[in-house]
Amino acid sequence: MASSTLSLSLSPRPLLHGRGLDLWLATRVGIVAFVTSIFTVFVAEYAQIRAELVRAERELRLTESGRLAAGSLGRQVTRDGVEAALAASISSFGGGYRPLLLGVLLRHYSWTALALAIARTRRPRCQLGHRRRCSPATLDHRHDDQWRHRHRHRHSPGHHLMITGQRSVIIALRCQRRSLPTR
Amino acid sequence: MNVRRLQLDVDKAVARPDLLDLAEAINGVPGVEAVNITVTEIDIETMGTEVTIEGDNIDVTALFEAIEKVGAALHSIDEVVVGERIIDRIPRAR
Repeated sequence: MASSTLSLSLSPRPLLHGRGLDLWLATRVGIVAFVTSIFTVFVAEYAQIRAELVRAERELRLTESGRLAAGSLGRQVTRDGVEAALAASISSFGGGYRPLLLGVLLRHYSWTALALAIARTRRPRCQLGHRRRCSPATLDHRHDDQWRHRHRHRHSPGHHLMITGQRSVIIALRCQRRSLPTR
Repeated sequence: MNVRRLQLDVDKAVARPDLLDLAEAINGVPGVEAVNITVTEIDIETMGTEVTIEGDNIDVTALFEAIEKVGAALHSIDEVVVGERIIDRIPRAR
């Protein structure tokens, strides 16, 4: 969903100026989505799993802090974070690239790229790398299922990006209407 | 000292490591011939297990290091059998 929002944010300008979409723009959007996703997902996932290890140390009454992370569990946690980040990044690349690729293939109907991107932001998808919807800040409420269900969208980064993407499209359309000559 | 059997109280987090990972780590210790891991208690966060290890000349130091390295916590040693053969505990008659 975040990658579709990137498509929405970066693609209206070439369309408004009559340049149309090209493969290089689609690739750049895909690369930007890939890079941002790999960083954010790895940090979020790694922080969450490391917090679980710290909690496990407390539950097991270990006197030495960081002992679990120093062993094979630490390596496993890093590997899980990297796997999640890679899966999310590849999905993000596809999510950013595909709508614009459609616009490139349908040259006379380039606006379909924006329509597809809007449709994708409307229907949020769970990317493979995001196994949990809670951010690290909500870990205290993990056991409160009702609270999690009520606030699952508010604490999803995709929710904020979705709103931003929709607003940017609306602003672009309004600018185009104002720039059209009046009879 | 020829350690032939050990019975340990080992706790671990429920999520990780896996019981199979723990068994594999213990089995890889020099001198270990057989391992029995039985879950004795479990709650939301932790799992308590009873680990019975038999072998010949078990490297106890390496065993404890392997348990810690895999991410479990050794809480106590409940039984040690050393010597030429294994003898079971005989409870008192009175």
